[in-house]
Amino acid sequence: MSFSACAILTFLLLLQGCQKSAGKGPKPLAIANSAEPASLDLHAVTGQPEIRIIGALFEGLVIRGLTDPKVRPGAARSWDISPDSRTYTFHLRPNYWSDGVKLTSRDFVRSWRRFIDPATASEYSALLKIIRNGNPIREKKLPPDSLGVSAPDDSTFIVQLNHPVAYFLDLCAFEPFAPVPLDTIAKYGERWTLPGHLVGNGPFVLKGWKHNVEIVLEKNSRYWDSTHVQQATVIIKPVEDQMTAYNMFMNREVDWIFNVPPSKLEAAKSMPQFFTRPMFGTYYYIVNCKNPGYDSRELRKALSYAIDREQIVKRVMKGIPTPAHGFVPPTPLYPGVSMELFNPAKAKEYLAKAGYVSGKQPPNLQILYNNADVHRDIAQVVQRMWKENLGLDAELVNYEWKVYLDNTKNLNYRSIARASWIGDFPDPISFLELYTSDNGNNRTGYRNPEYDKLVQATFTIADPALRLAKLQEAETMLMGDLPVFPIYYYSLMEMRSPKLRDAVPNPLGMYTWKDIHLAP
Amino acid sequence: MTWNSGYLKRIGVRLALNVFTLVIIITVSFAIMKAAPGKPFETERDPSPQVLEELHRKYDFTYGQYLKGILLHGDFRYSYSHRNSTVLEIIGEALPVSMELGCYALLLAIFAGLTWGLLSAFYRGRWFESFIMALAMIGIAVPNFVLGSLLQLLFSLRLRVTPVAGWTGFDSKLLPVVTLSLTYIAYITRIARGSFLENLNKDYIRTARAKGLPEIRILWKHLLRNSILPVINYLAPATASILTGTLVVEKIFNIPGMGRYFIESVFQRDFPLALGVIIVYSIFLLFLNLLADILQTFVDPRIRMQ
Repeated sequence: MSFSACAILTFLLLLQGCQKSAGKGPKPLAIANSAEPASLDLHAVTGQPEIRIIGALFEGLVIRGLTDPKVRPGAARSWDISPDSRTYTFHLRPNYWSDGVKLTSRDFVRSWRRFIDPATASEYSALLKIIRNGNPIREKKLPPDSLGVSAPDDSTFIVQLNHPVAYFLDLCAFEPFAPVPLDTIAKYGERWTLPGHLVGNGPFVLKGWKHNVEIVLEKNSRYWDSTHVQQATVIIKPVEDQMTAYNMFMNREVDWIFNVPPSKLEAAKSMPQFFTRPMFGTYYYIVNCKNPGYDSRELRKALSYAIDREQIVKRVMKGIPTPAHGFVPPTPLYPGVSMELFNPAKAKEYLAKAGYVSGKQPPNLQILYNNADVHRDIAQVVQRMWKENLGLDAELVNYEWKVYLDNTKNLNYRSIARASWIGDFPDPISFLELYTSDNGNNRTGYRNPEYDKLVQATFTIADPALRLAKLQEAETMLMGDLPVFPIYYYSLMEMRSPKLRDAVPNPLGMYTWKDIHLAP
Repeated sequence: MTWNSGYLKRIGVRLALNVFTLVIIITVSFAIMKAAPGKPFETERDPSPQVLEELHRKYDFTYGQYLKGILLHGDFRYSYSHRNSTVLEIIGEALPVSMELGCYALLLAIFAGLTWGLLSAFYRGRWFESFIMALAMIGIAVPNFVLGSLLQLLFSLRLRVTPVAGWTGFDSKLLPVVTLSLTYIAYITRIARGSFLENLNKDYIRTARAKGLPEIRILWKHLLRNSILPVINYLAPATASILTGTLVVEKIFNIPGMGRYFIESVFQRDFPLALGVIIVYSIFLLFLNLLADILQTFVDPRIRMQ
């Protein structure tokens, strides 16, 4: 037996040696990305795992600021805004694609036309409706060539907007607004995003892509600011299971993970590697306002006032995110509304006003959520709060993701369902627009012409202070009607190697790749 | 030779039947997928009607188109959830990984199962036998997602000798292979032990011992040959299940195999990918069953004569 013991010990030592020798050479930055990217075509994706990688390969006219919320120059060196705030003129710096071809303003014109072309079927194309002729093109009434963008010379790119858009520069920093290599796309068709084909203008180039194993990015020597890029190699591993990703981080196989499994939050939050920042996102419940009973504002108020957001954050989210006090998460530019959302006495009062007295129950009180531990835990806490504060019995129903989407989209849920939203750009309108009557993402059946008018009005106001006041007015109205019950504002919850430097997220939780690097 | 040609004919009939079975499997899978709630292009962000229309125009297909595409052109179409890759490309990358994992696990299961079975038969009634049989019982009773996590905890997080996940070097393959093979090791150990015990008491072994043959020769020449039949019988279904049953292990250890794509495609309603994986799995199982039948006829001539 002693021989066997020696043999096993030798084997284990050899294995350990094996593992350590793998880490020789300049240290690449290894990241566990939550899923295998569906594509690297910036006009074909909507998920964070894809956009995260696309941000390293392509660069838009502007990029996000490192510390302040304002954008900084990207492919454009500078820009002018017309006095009526409807025309933006960008002056491009000398830029090159990663294959050495010069990038001109014409590339931006062609890219944005491709972006809005209904044949491209980009789900983000709705964001271009603010540009002249944007909407008719989306509805196939005009050709994509009629989009209000032009390139009078190689280095000037002009955008004409339908109305002043306070967040237009933020949109330009959003990854789908970066240019795509149209000549490469024409040459390779669907396969243009494969290594060896993909040409970009970002700080990194695609060196390798082994599906479900890893994506390797290398510094792009043709990037205009390549001297600023300190990281030579980035390895992105798709790891869907949060626990596996967490274990890989703890075993130092990756330097950075973007999620901490709920069961590890308590332990993780006291570690120095834990990183959290508020995000421009809200976790909330939606109400089916079309169903009998729930069309009553009093009942909705009763249910919302009975939810103690602080307790939910404390018990389920281990106190990390911020309990919601409105629908739009506050940002440095928008303080939001600060409303009292938990008040058991008021909850009882409104329940009585809604006609539910002496133990009478509202019909079909149910919480629908998609399969995930955290959604279940929150639903259970809310169920208990409604029981304790109002004496109501709620049923919990869970579905897998696609069935949940189908049911909420078609208002095929009985009363309450979970929902979440992360803004596409750091402006309150990206939240408030959701609950206008005809918005496809309004999965509550809520229709309020007054609210629609208020939101619509914010599009045409050029004065920032006036616009802010209007937005607050709209949010206050929404919180008065309560088709949604905000629960908490999202926070980034990451684990990072202590050597990770300059990884500063914007409020959407997105990063600017040119800055990020591992210290030696 | 007459029985031989008749036998070949029977194999031909079985092959034709297999193709028919495959078409039925495709039909039923297609129907179930179309009937399942949830739509492939539905996302949290509502796509506009024009975008949705374009996606359907680009990717949708009917049953007739699908069957025709596969049977006449071998066209498994583009995946819905990995839009720049065809289903065949994805399977082409994933299948070898699952095969590699399955084959290593199978080889380990055969080697360890036979060794443990033999040792426990030889040391019958001693503590060593109890130890091996207890291990075998654990192997059967503990599900592999528990075992996998425990092995990760011990070898990756505590001892730090293997990576937690991945499928790159030798060290990363060790834990998944052991996890996948343990159930099969346990079964083979029990089957082999029973068979060895039965044969150890037979007259021909006693005769061989009486003739003074060395123990190793008795073991190799006489005992192993005669005792291995039940193990071979078990191996055909075990091979099928080990090669197609890698999904849980693939998920725990983040291995880029077929099982992961199968689960993912079903949840994402990626019909072409799910159908592609089902077809490959089905061909595999049908082929292995046929192979098992053919092998049996070689081992047992009575079947051939029937």
